[in-house]
Amino acid sequence: MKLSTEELDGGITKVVLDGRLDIEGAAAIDLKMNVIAGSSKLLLLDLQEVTFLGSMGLRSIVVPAQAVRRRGGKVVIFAPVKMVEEVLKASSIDALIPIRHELADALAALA
Amino acid sequence: MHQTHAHKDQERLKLNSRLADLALVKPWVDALATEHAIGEDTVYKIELCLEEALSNIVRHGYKGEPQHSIELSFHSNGDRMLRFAIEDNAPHFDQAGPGRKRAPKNAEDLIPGGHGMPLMQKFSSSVAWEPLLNGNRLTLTFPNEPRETETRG
Repeated sequence: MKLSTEELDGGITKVVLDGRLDIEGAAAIDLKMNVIAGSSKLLLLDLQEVTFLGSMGLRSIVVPAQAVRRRGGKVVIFAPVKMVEEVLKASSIDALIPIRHELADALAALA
Repeated sequence: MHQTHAHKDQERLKLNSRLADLALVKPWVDALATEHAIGEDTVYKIELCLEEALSNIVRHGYKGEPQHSIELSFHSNGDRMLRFAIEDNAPHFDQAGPGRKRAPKNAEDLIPGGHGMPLMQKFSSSVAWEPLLNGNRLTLTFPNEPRETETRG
């Protein structure tokens, strides 16, 4: 599981995840995600290269997202593949962390 | 050097009760998918449900003790249903315990973790638990939706 970040205009931190967000993948990114969540108020989670998402992976998304929101920030999920999006929706996360498939829409959700 | 005691043949996979052994499930499922021409989305659902079930057994059934065994078996009897059975020697599963989650009202209400059982119910055709004399058997079924024909040149 790979994680990289990119600072965008407007104070947005784009977090690009790449690989399987299973138990092993979640363990690999948890600490980094929590550090990012502690320092960013606007988080764009780019999931287009995430090929698998399980419940431990969900936790790796929800916990940092809650931390950002507690500090008055916003989080958006960008471009998950079909089955990953199904898992997000089955867990009701989509109702709370918006999912967008166009970058412009994702950025607008953080405005 | 750490050696795993996991053992697999074509239709069975034996694991020890540690999360690291779950990494052996994907290659086993991938091999079954090739053998039985299982579609990509179905493979995803199988891997998702097996990960949830196995991690629950390791963390809750065996309470993190690594020396116990878990045995997976696969059956396909030609009715286009794929059946996976997971047997353990853990105390009987508490069906009244954590599992079903209410819908969260807001982001702060989302409980991290604990999505396992709802995900299994959503992504499998059936989830059946039965007590064994010394343990549990969980059976998950999936429809075999065959792979789409490759159309790319």
